[in-house]
Amino acid sequence: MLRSLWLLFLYVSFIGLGIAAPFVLTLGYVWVDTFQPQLVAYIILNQLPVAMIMGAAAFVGYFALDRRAPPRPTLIHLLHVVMAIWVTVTLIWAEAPDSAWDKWDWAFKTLAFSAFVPLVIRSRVQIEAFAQTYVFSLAANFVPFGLKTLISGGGYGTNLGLTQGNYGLAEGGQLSTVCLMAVPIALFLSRHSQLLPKFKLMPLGYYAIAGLAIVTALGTYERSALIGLVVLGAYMLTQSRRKVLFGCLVAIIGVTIVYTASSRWEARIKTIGHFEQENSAYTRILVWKWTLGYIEDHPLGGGFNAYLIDHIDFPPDPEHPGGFTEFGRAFHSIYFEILGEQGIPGIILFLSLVGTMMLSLRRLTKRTRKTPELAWCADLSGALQSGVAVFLTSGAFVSIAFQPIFWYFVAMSISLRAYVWRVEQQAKPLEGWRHTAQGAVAHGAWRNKGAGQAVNARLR
Amino acid sequence: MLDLMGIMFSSVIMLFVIVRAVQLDSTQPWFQTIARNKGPAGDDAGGTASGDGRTWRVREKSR
Repeated sequence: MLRSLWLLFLYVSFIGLGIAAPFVLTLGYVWVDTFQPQLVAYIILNQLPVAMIMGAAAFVGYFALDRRAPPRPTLIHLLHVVMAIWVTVTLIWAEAPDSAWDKWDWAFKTLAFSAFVPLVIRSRVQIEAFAQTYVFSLAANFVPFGLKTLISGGGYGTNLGLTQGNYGLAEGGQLSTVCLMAVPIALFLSRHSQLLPKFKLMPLGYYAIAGLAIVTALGTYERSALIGLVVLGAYMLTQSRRKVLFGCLVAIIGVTIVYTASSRWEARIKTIGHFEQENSAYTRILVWKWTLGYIEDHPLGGGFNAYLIDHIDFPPDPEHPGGFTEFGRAFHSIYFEILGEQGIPGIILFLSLVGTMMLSLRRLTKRTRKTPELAWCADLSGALQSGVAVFLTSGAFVSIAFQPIFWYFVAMSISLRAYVWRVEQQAKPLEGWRHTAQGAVAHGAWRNKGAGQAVNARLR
Repeated sequence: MLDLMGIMFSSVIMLFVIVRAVQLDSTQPWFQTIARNKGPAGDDAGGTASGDGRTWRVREKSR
Protein backbone atom coordinates (compact mmCIF):
# COMPACT_ATOMS: atom_id res chain seq x y z
CA MET A 1 0.00 0.00 0.00
CA LEU A 2 2.76 2.42 1.04
CA ARG A 3 4.75 1.43 -2.03
CA SER A 4 1.77 2.03 -4.34
CA LEU A 5 0.98 5.44 -2.86
CA TRP A 6 4.62 6.51 -3.12
CA LEU A 7 4.78 5.45 -6.77
CA LEU A 8 1.54 7.33 -7.46
CA PHE A 9 3.06 10.43 -5.85
CA LEU A 10 6.14 10.04 -8.02
CA TYR A 11 4.05 9.63 -11.18
CA VAL A 12 2.00 12.73 -10.39
CA SER A 13 5.21 14.64 -9.56
CA PHE A 14 6.57 13.93 -13.05
CA ILE A 15 3.40 15.32 -14.60
CA GLY A 16 3.32 18.32 -12.25
CA LEU A 17 6.96 19.24 -12.88
CA GLY A 18 6.41 18.56 -16.58
CA ILE A 19 3.97 21.46 -16.74
CA ALA A 20 6.78 23.79 -15.62
CA ALA A 21 9.47 22.13 -17.76
CA PRO A 22 8.14 19.86 -20.56
CA PHE A 23 11.35 17.81 -20.83
CA VAL A 24 10.45 16.25 -17.45
CA LEU A 25 7.54 14.46 -19.14
CA THR A 26 10.04 12.69 -21.40
CA LEU A 27 12.03 11.71 -18.30
CA GLY A 28 8.75 10.49 -16.81
CA TYR A 29 8.23 8.23 -19.81
CA VAL A 30 11.77 6.87 -19.46
CA TRP A 31 11.03 6.11 -15.79
CA VAL A 32 7.72 4.39 -16.64
CA ASP A 33 9.33 2.45 -19.49
CA THR A 34 12.33 1.31 -17.45
CA PHE A 35 10.98 0.88 -13.94
CA GLN A 36 7.42 -0.12 -15.00
CA PRO A 37 5.51 1.09 -11.92
CA GLN A 38 2.32 -0.51 -13.23
CA LEU A 39 3.87 -3.92 -12.54
CA VAL A 40 5.08 -2.96 -9.06
CA ALA A 41 2.08 -1.00 -7.71
CA TYR A 42 -0.90 -2.79 -6.18
CA ILE A 43 -3.47 -0.03 -6.64
CA ILE A 44 -4.38 2.76 -9.12
CA LEU A 45 -1.22 2.73 -11.29
CA ASN A 46 -1.71 -0.93 -12.14
CA GLN A 47 -5.14 -0.06 -13.58
CA LEU A 48 -4.10 2.93 -15.68
CA PRO A 49 -2.38 3.11 -19.10
CA VAL A 50 0.50 4.91 -17.37
CA ALA A 51 2.94 4.74 -20.30
CA MET A 52 0.37 6.01 -22.81
CA ILE A 53 -0.61 8.95 -20.59
CA MET A 54 3.00 9.95 -19.95
CA GLY A 55 4.04 9.42 -23.59
CA ALA A 56 1.13 11.50 -24.90
CA ALA A 57 1.89 14.23 -22.35
CA ALA A 58 5.55 14.26 -23.45
CA PHE A 59 4.58 14.72 -27.13
CA VAL A 60 1.98 17.39 -26.38
CA GLY A 61 4.34 19.17 -23.96
CA TYR A 62 7.09 19.33 -26.57
CA PHE A 63 4.99 20.38 -29.55
CA ALA A 64 2.92 22.90 -27.60
CA LEU A 65 5.52 24.44 -25.31
CA ASP A 66 9.08 23.45 -26.01
CA ARG A 67 10.06 23.51 -29.69
CA ARG A 68 13.35 25.32 -29.28
CA ALA A 69 16.81 24.59 -30.66
CA PRO A 70 16.02 21.28 -32.42
CA PRO A 71 19.04 19.12 -33.32
CA ARG A 72 20.17 19.08 -36.93
CA PRO A 73 19.31 15.88 -38.84
CA THR A 74 22.06 13.24 -38.70
CA LEU A 75 22.62 9.89 -40.39
CA ILE A 76 22.10 8.06 -37.06
CA HIS A 77 18.74 9.75 -36.56
CA LEU A 78 17.75 8.98 -40.16
CA LEU A 79 18.69 5.28 -39.81
CA HIS A 80 16.77 5.18 -36.53
CA VAL A 81 13.60 6.50 -38.18
CA VAL A 82 14.01 4.23 -41.22
CA MET A 83 14.33 1.25 -38.84
CA ALA A 84 11.00 2.21 -37.23
CA ILE A 85 9.40 2.36 -40.68
CA TRP A 86 10.94 -0.92 -41.85
CA VAL A 87 9.75 -2.93 -38.82
CA THR A 88 6.25 -1.68 -39.64
CA VAL A 89 6.53 -2.65 -43.30
CA THR A 90 7.60 -6.23 -42.46
CA LEU A 91 4.24 -6.72 -40.74
CA ILE A 92 2.77 -7.10 -44.26
CA TRP A 93 4.40 -10.52 -44.73
CA ALA A 94 4.66 -11.54 -41.06
CA GLU A 95 4.72 -15.31 -40.56
CA ALA A 96 2.76 -15.07 -37.31
CA PRO A 97 0.58 -11.95 -37.82
CA ASP A 98 -1.19 -11.85 -34.43
CA SER A 99 1.99 -12.32 -32.47
CA ALA A 100 3.84 -9.89 -34.77
CA TRP A 101 1.28 -7.16 -34.03
CA ASP A 102 1.72 -7.76 -30.29
CA LYS A 103 5.48 -7.27 -30.51
CA TRP A 104 5.19 -4.37 -32.98
CA ASP A 105 2.94 -2.59 -30.49
CA TRP A 106 5.74 -2.16 -27.94
CA ALA A 107 8.77 -2.33 -30.25
CA PHE A 108 7.48 0.48 -32.48
CA LYS A 109 6.73 2.64 -29.43
CA THR A 110 10.31 2.07 -28.25
CA LEU A 111 11.76 3.07 -31.63
CA ALA A 112 9.44 6.03 -32.10
CA PHE A 113 9.91 7.44 -28.60
CA SER A 114 13.66 7.03 -28.60
CA ALA A 115 13.76 8.84 -31.98
CA PHE A 116 11.74 11.62 -30.34
CA VAL A 117 14.05 11.93 -27.30
CA PRO A 118 16.83 13.96 -29.05
CA LEU A 119 14.27 16.65 -29.94
CA VAL A 120 13.56 17.17 -26.24
CA ILE A 121 16.90 16.42 -24.58
CA ARG A 122 19.23 19.16 -25.80
CA SER A 123 21.12 20.96 -23.06
CA ARG A 124 23.74 19.60 -20.67
CA VAL A 125 21.29 19.69 -17.77
CA GLN A 126 18.72 17.74 -19.78
CA ILE A 127 21.26 15.18 -21.02
CA GLU A 128 22.46 14.56 -17.46
CA ALA A 129 18.90 14.42 -16.11
CA PHE A 130 18.13 11.79 -18.76
CA ALA A 131 21.16 9.70 -17.73
CA GLN A 132 20.34 10.08 -14.02
CA THR A 133 16.70 9.10 -14.54
CA TYR A 134 17.73 6.07 -16.52
CA VAL A 135 20.29 4.86 -13.98
CA PHE A 136 18.04 5.41 -10.95
CA SER A 137 15.02 3.83 -12.66
CA LEU A 138 17.14 0.73 -13.10
CA ALA A 139 18.68 1.05 -9.63
CA ALA A 140 15.24 0.50 -8.10
CA ASN A 141 15.49 -3.00 -9.57
CA PHE A 142 19.12 -3.87 -9.17
CA VAL A 143 19.87 -2.33 -5.76
CA PRO A 144 17.56 -4.80 -3.92
CA PHE A 145 18.55 -7.58 -6.36
CA GLY A 146 22.25 -6.93 -5.72
CA LEU A 147 21.81 -6.82 -1.95
CA LYS A 148 19.82 -10.08 -2.02
CA THR A 149 22.53 -11.66 -4.16
CA LEU A 150 25.18 -10.63 -1.62
CA ILE A 151 23.08 -12.24 1.13
CA SER A 152 21.87 -15.38 -0.67
CA GLY A 153 24.36 -15.87 -3.51
CA GLY A 154 21.73 -15.58 -6.26
CA GLY A 155 21.09 -18.41 -8.69
CA TYR A 156 20.17 -19.29 -12.26
CA GLY A 157 16.46 -18.64 -12.82
CA THR A 158 16.13 -17.31 -9.26
CA ASN A 159 14.17 -14.11 -9.58
CA LEU A 160 15.20 -11.68 -6.85
CA GLY A 161 13.89 -8.56 -8.60
CA LEU A 162 10.77 -6.45 -8.18
CA THR A 163 8.71 -8.13 -10.91
CA GLN A 164 7.92 -11.77 -11.52
CA GLY A 165 7.68 -13.77 -14.74
CA ASN A 166 10.20 -14.38 -17.49
CA TYR A 167 10.14 -11.16 -19.46
CA GLY A 168 11.47 -7.62 -19.14
CA LEU A 169 13.79 -7.09 -16.18
CA ALA A 170 12.56 -10.33 -14.61
CA GLU A 171 14.46 -12.22 -17.34
CA GLY A 172 18.06 -12.89 -16.30
CA GLY A 173 19.72 -12.31 -19.67
CA GLN A 174 18.10 -8.94 -20.15
CA LEU A 175 18.60 -7.82 -16.56
CA SER A 176 22.29 -8.66 -16.57
CA THR A 177 22.91 -6.87 -19.89
CA VAL A 178 20.99 -3.79 -18.81
CA CYS A 179 22.84 -3.64 -15.47
CA LEU A 180 26.25 -3.86 -17.14
CA MET A 181 25.28 -1.13 -19.61
CA ALA A 182 24.37 1.12 -16.66
CA VAL A 183 27.82 0.73 -15.05
CA PRO A 184 29.75 3.15 -17.32
CA ILE A 185 26.93 5.70 -17.11
CA ALA A 186 27.01 5.55 -13.29
CA LEU A 187 30.78 6.03 -13.36
CA PHE A 188 30.38 8.98 -15.73
CA LEU A 189 27.87 10.55 -13.32
CA SER A 190 30.28 10.06 -10.41
CA ARG A 191 32.70 12.42 -12.16
CA HIS A 192 30.48 14.96 -13.88
CA SER A 193 27.18 15.25 -12.06
CA GLN A 194 25.90 18.82 -11.84
CA LEU A 195 22.50 17.93 -10.47
CA LEU A 196 23.50 16.38 -7.15
CA PRO A 197 25.31 18.39 -4.49
CA LYS A 198 29.07 18.00 -4.69
CA PHE A 199 30.50 16.39 -1.57
CA LYS A 200 33.23 13.86 -1.09
CA LEU A 201 31.02 10.82 -0.53
CA MET A 202 28.93 11.35 -3.66
CA PRO A 203 31.29 9.47 -6.03
CA LEU A 204 31.30 6.58 -3.54
CA GLY A 205 27.51 6.38 -3.86
CA TYR A 206 27.82 5.99 -7.64
CA TYR A 207 30.60 3.42 -7.22
CA ALA A 208 28.28 1.47 -4.91
CA ILE A 209 25.52 1.61 -7.54
CA ALA A 210 27.94 0.41 -10.22
CA GLY A 211 29.14 -2.37 -7.88
CA LEU A 212 25.59 -3.54 -7.16
CA ALA A 213 24.84 -3.53 -10.89
CA ILE A 214 27.81 -5.87 -11.44
CA VAL A 215 26.78 -8.09 -8.50
CA THR A 216 23.25 -8.28 -9.92
CA ALA A 217 24.56 -9.24 -13.36
CA LEU A 218 26.70 -12.00 -11.87
CA GLY A 219 23.88 -13.05 -9.51
CA THR A 220 21.70 -13.99 -12.47
CA TYR A 221 24.23 -16.76 -13.30
CA GLU A 222 23.91 -15.79 -16.96
CA ARG A 223 26.95 -16.74 -19.00
CA SER A 224 26.36 -13.75 -21.25
CA ALA A 225 26.85 -11.55 -18.16
CA LEU A 226 30.41 -12.78 -17.66
CA ILE A 227 31.18 -12.22 -21.34
CA GLY A 228 29.65 -8.75 -21.11
CA LEU A 229 31.64 -7.97 -17.97
CA VAL A 230 34.93 -8.96 -19.62
CA VAL A 231 34.13 -6.79 -22.65
CA LEU A 232 33.08 -3.90 -20.41
CA GLY A 233 36.37 -4.10 -18.48
CA ALA A 234 38.44 -4.34 -21.66
CA TYR A 235 36.62 -1.49 -23.42
CA MET A 236 36.76 0.80 -20.40
CA LEU A 237 40.47 0.00 -20.04
CA THR A 238 41.11 1.20 -23.60
CA GLN A 239 39.18 4.40 -22.85
CA SER A 240 40.78 5.06 -19.46
CA ARG A 241 43.31 7.86 -19.03
CA ARG A 242 44.97 5.98 -16.12
CA LYS A 243 45.31 2.55 -17.66
CA VAL A 244 47.62 1.04 -15.02
CA LEU A 245 45.36 2.06 -12.13
CA PHE A 246 42.25 0.93 -13.97
CA GLY A 247 43.94 -2.35 -14.97
CA CYS A 248 44.81 -3.03 -11.29
CA LEU A 249 41.20 -2.29 -10.31
CA VAL A 250 39.86 -4.69 -12.96
CA ALA A 251 42.31 -7.37 -11.78
CA ILE A 252 41.19 -6.91 -8.14
CA ILE A 253 37.52 -7.19 -9.14
CA GLY A 254 38.30 -10.30 -11.20
CA VAL A 255 40.16 -11.99 -8.36
CA THR A 256 37.38 -11.07 -5.90
CA ILE A 257 34.78 -12.63 -8.19
CA VAL A 258 36.79 -15.83 -8.61
CA TYR A 259 37.38 -16.23 -4.85
CA THR A 260 33.91 -15.29 -3.65
CA ALA A 261 31.77 -16.94 -6.33
CA SER A 262 29.94 -20.08 -5.28
CA SER A 263 30.67 -23.48 -6.79
CA ARG A 264 27.20 -23.38 -8.43
CA TRP A 265 28.17 -20.19 -10.30
CA GLU A 266 31.49 -21.69 -11.40
CA ALA A 267 29.75 -24.86 -12.59
CA ARG A 268 27.30 -22.79 -14.61
CA ILE A 269 30.04 -20.64 -16.18
CA LYS A 270 32.16 -23.67 -17.08
CA THR A 271 29.41 -24.87 -19.43
CA ILE A 272 30.53 -22.12 -21.85
CA GLY A 273 33.33 -24.42 -22.95
CA HIS A 274 31.08 -27.48 -23.39
CA PHE A 275 28.24 -26.07 -25.43
CA GLU A 276 27.55 -29.33 -27.28
CA GLN A 277 26.69 -31.11 -24.03
CA GLU A 278 24.69 -28.13 -22.74
CA ASN A 279 21.16 -28.10 -24.07
CA SER A 280 20.51 -24.35 -23.81
CA ALA A 281 23.67 -23.33 -25.70
CA TYR A 282 23.35 -26.11 -28.30
CA THR A 283 19.71 -25.16 -28.98
CA ARG A 284 20.85 -21.60 -29.73
CA ILE A 285 23.27 -22.84 -32.37
CA LEU A 286 20.62 -24.98 -34.02
CA VAL A 287 18.14 -22.06 -34.01
CA TRP A 288 20.77 -19.81 -35.60
CA LYS A 289 21.39 -22.43 -38.31
CA TRP A 290 17.65 -22.59 -38.96
CA THR A 291 17.53 -18.77 -39.22
CA LEU A 292 20.30 -18.72 -41.83
CA GLY A 293 18.44 -21.33 -43.86
CA TYR A 294 15.18 -19.42 -43.51
CA ILE A 295 16.76 -16.17 -44.71
CA GLU A 296 18.01 -17.86 -47.89
CA ASP A 297 14.37 -18.36 -48.90
CA HIS A 298 12.96 -15.23 -47.20
CA PRO A 299 15.55 -12.44 -47.51
CA LEU A 300 13.04 -9.83 -46.31
CA GLY A 301 12.53 -11.69 -43.03
CA GLY A 302 9.42 -13.13 -41.47
CA GLY A 303 8.20 -10.20 -39.39
CA PHE A 304 8.16 -9.93 -35.60
CA ASN A 305 8.21 -13.23 -33.70
CA ALA A 306 8.98 -15.24 -36.85
CA TYR A 307 10.72 -17.75 -34.58
CA LEU A 308 7.27 -19.21 -33.80
CA ILE A 309 7.40 -21.17 -37.07
CA ASP A 310 10.89 -22.63 -36.59
CA HIS A 311 11.48 -26.36 -36.11
CA ILE A 312 14.76 -27.51 -34.66
CA ASP A 313 15.95 -31.07 -35.39
CA PHE A 314 18.14 -32.42 -32.59
CA PRO A 315 20.58 -35.23 -33.38
CA PRO A 316 20.18 -38.64 -31.68
CA ASP A 317 21.30 -38.89 -28.06
CA PRO A 318 21.06 -41.66 -25.41
CA GLU A 319 17.61 -40.43 -24.31
CA HIS A 320 16.29 -40.00 -27.86
CA PRO A 321 17.95 -42.60 -30.13
CA GLY A 322 15.97 -41.41 -33.15
CA GLY A 323 16.56 -37.72 -32.49
CA PHE A 324 13.70 -35.27 -31.86
CA THR A 325 12.26 -31.97 -33.08
CA GLU A 326 11.30 -28.85 -31.16
CA PHE A 327 9.15 -25.99 -32.46
CA GLY A 328 9.04 -22.27 -31.78
CA ARG A 329 12.40 -21.79 -30.06
CA ALA A 330 13.37 -18.12 -29.62
CA PHE A 331 16.33 -16.61 -31.50
CA HIS A 332 18.37 -15.87 -28.34
CA SER A 333 20.52 -13.31 -30.15
CA ILE A 334 19.95 -9.72 -31.22
CA TYR A 335 21.62 -10.38 -34.57
CA PHE A 336 19.58 -13.46 -35.45
CA GLU A 337 16.45 -11.84 -34.01
CA ILE A 338 16.79 -8.93 -36.42
CA LEU A 339 17.94 -11.13 -39.30
CA GLY A 340 15.05 -13.58 -38.89
CA GLU A 341 12.40 -10.95 -38.25
CA GLN A 342 13.51 -7.98 -40.34
CA GLY A 343 15.54 -9.79 -42.99
CA ILE A 344 18.70 -8.64 -44.72
CA PRO A 345 17.53 -4.99 -45.03
CA GLY A 346 16.83 -4.96 -41.28
CA ILE A 347 20.24 -6.32 -40.27
CA ILE A 348 21.99 -3.93 -42.69
CA LEU A 349 20.05 -1.02 -41.16
CA PHE A 350 20.89 -2.15 -37.62
CA LEU A 351 24.60 -2.71 -38.29
CA SER A 352 24.83 0.60 -40.18
CA LEU A 353 23.19 2.35 -37.24
CA VAL A 354 25.55 0.76 -34.73
CA GLY A 355 28.63 1.39 -36.89
CA THR A 356 27.70 5.02 -37.56
CA MET A 357 26.97 5.62 -33.89
CA MET A 358 30.23 4.10 -32.66
CA LEU A 359 32.29 6.01 -35.24
CA SER A 360 30.50 9.23 -34.41
CA LEU A 361 31.09 8.71 -30.68
CA ARG A 362 34.76 7.91 -31.22
CA ARG A 363 35.23 11.07 -33.28
CA LEU A 364 33.37 13.04 -30.65
CA THR A 365 35.64 11.70 -27.89
CA LYS A 366 38.75 12.66 -29.84
CA ARG A 367 37.47 16.15 -30.58
CA THR A 368 36.36 17.03 -27.07
CA ARG A 369 38.74 15.30 -24.67
CA LYS A 370 41.41 17.98 -24.84
CA THR A 371 38.99 20.80 -24.11
CA PRO A 372 38.49 20.92 -20.34
CA GLU A 373 35.05 22.50 -20.62
CA LEU A 374 33.89 19.66 -22.84
CA ALA A 375 35.59 16.85 -20.93
CA TRP A 376 32.17 15.68 -19.77
CA CYS A 377 31.18 15.15 -23.41
CA ALA A 378 34.27 12.99 -24.00
CA ASP A 379 33.56 10.93 -20.87
CA LEU A 380 29.86 10.48 -21.67
CA SER A 381 30.79 9.50 -25.20
CA GLY A 382 33.20 6.88 -23.81
CA ALA A 383 30.54 5.61 -21.40
CA LEU A 384 28.02 5.26 -24.23
CA GLN A 385 30.55 3.35 -26.33
CA SER A 386 31.30 0.97 -23.43
CA GLY A 387 27.58 0.38 -22.86
CA VAL A 388 26.95 -0.34 -26.53
CA ALA A 389 29.97 -2.70 -26.62
CA VAL A 390 28.35 -4.69 -23.77
CA PHE A 391 25.03 -4.74 -25.62
CA LEU A 392 26.68 -6.00 -28.82
CA THR A 393 28.44 -8.88 -27.03
CA SER A 394 25.98 -9.94 -24.31
CA GLY A 395 23.16 -9.33 -26.75
CA ALA A 396 24.66 -11.95 -29.08
CA PHE A 397 23.04 -14.51 -26.73
CA VAL A 398 19.80 -12.76 -25.74
CA SER A 399 16.85 -11.54 -27.84
CA ILE A 400 16.73 -7.92 -26.70
CA ALA A 401 17.19 -6.02 -29.96
CA PHE A 402 14.05 -3.94 -29.52
CA GLN A 403 14.20 -3.43 -25.76
CA PRO A 404 14.42 0.27 -24.82
CA ILE A 405 17.92 0.16 -23.30
CA PHE A 406 19.86 0.13 -26.57
CA TRP A 407 17.60 2.67 -28.24
CA TYR A 408 17.96 5.07 -25.30
CA PHE A 409 21.72 4.83 -25.77
CA VAL A 410 21.20 5.73 -29.45
CA ALA A 411 19.04 8.67 -28.38
CA MET A 412 21.65 9.87 -25.88
CA SER A 413 24.40 9.67 -28.50
CA ILE A 414 22.31 11.78 -30.92
CA SER A 415 21.61 14.35 -28.19
CA LEU A 416 25.28 14.52 -27.23
CA ARG A 417 26.44 14.84 -30.83
CA ALA A 418 23.89 17.60 -31.42
CA TYR A 419 25.07 19.43 -28.28
CA VAL A 420 28.73 19.38 -29.35
CA TRP A 421 27.80 20.40 -32.90
CA ARG A 422 25.89 23.34 -31.51
CA VAL A 423 28.85 24.42 -29.37
CA GLU A 424 31.24 24.04 -32.32
CA GLN A 425 29.01 26.06 -34.62
CA GLN A 426 29.02 28.92 -32.16
CA ALA A 427 32.81 28.67 -31.92
CA LYS A 428 33.40 29.04 -35.65
CA PRO A 429 34.63 32.50 -36.67
CA LEU A 430 32.22 34.20 -39.04
CA GLU A 431 33.49 34.58 -42.60
CA GLY A 432 32.65 36.61 -45.70
CA TRP A 433 29.47 38.69 -45.73
CA ARG A 434 28.48 37.33 -42.31
CA HIS A 435 31.66 38.79 -40.80
CA THR A 436 31.09 42.14 -42.57
CA ALA A 437 27.48 42.24 -41.45
CA GLN A 438 28.39 41.47 -37.88
CA GLY A 439 31.12 44.10 -37.93
CA ALA A 440 28.67 46.67 -39.23
CA VAL A 441 26.27 45.86 -36.46
CA ALA A 442 29.01 45.94 -33.84
CA HIS A 443 30.22 49.40 -34.99
CA GLY A 444 26.77 50.95 -34.93
CA ALA A 445 26.40 51.32 -38.71
CA TRP A 446 22.87 50.10 -38.27
CA ARG A 447 20.87 52.91 -36.80
CA ASN A 448 17.98 50.67 -36.16
CA LYS A 449 19.14 48.82 -33.07
CA GLY A 450 16.27 46.34 -33.25
CA ALA A 451 17.13 45.36 -36.81
CA GLY A 452 20.80 44.95 -35.85
CA GLN A 453 19.92 42.63 -33.02
CA ALA A 454 17.65 40.66 -35.30
CA VAL A 455 20.48 40.16 -37.82
CA ASN A 456 22.86 39.18 -35.06
CA ALA A 457 20.40 36.66 -33.72
CA ARG A 458 19.84 35.25 -37.19
CA LEU A 459 23.57 34.95 -37.86
CA ARG A 460 24.03 32.97 -34.71
CA MET B 1 11.78 -4.72 2.88
CA LEU B 2 14.82 -4.57 0.60
CA ASP B 3 12.49 -3.97 -2.34
CA LEU B 4 10.87 -0.99 -0.64
CA MET B 5 14.27 0.33 0.35
CA GLY B 6 15.49 0.10 -3.25
CA ILE B 7 12.41 1.88 -4.55
CA MET B 8 12.59 4.65 -1.96
CA PHE B 9 16.34 5.16 -2.38
CA SER B 10 16.22 5.44 -6.15
CA SER B 11 13.04 7.48 -6.37
CA VAL B 12 14.02 10.05 -3.72
CA ILE B 13 17.34 10.72 -5.47
CA MET B 14 15.64 10.79 -8.86
CA LEU B 15 13.06 13.28 -7.63
CA PHE B 16 15.79 15.47 -6.18
CA VAL B 17 17.70 15.32 -9.46
CA ILE B 18 14.65 16.28 -11.49
CA VAL B 19 13.70 19.22 -9.27
CA ARG B 20 17.28 20.45 -9.51
CA ALA B 21 17.24 19.93 -13.30
CA VAL B 22 14.07 22.02 -13.60
CA GLN B 23 15.71 24.82 -11.58
CA LEU B 24 18.95 24.77 -13.58
CA ASP B 25 17.17 24.42 -16.91
CA SER B 26 15.52 27.77 -16.45
CA THR B 27 18.52 29.60 -14.97
CA GLN B 28 21.59 28.14 -16.70
CA PRO B 29 22.49 28.70 -20.36
CA TRP B 30 21.65 25.71 -22.50
CA PHE B 31 24.82 25.68 -24.56
CA GLN B 32 28.38 26.65 -23.77
CA THR B 33 29.84 29.06 -26.30
CA ILE B 34 33.43 28.33 -27.25
CA ALA B 35 35.31 30.84 -29.38
CA ARG B 36 38.05 29.30 -31.50
CA ASN B 37 40.98 31.57 -32.36
CA LYS B 38 44.07 30.96 -34.46
CA GLY B 39 46.53 32.84 -32.29
CA PRO B 40 47.84 32.16 -28.79
CA ALA B 41 45.42 32.51 -25.93
CA GLY B 42 45.44 35.91 -24.25
CA ASP B 43 45.04 36.44 -20.54
CA ASP B 44 41.50 37.55 -21.08
CA ALA B 45 40.63 34.48 -23.07
CA GLY B 46 40.24 32.27 -20.05
CA GLY B 47 40.77 29.14 -22.13
CA THR B 48 43.35 26.48 -22.77
CA ALA B 49 45.11 25.06 -25.76
CA SER B 50 43.06 22.41 -27.48
CA GLY B 51 46.06 20.39 -28.62
CA ASP B 52 45.39 20.86 -32.31
CA GLY B 53 47.21 24.17 -32.62
CA ARG B 54 44.09 26.21 -32.04
CA THR B 55 42.89 27.95 -28.95
CA TRP B 56 39.53 27.61 -27.31
CA ARG B 57 37.97 30.47 -25.48
CA VAL B 58 34.96 29.72 -23.40
CA ARG B 59 32.20 32.02 -22.35
CA GLU B 60 28.68 31.25 -21.31
CA LYS B 61 25.92 32.40 -23.58
CA SER B 62 22.29 32.44 -22.68
CA ARG B 63 19.67 30.93 -24.96
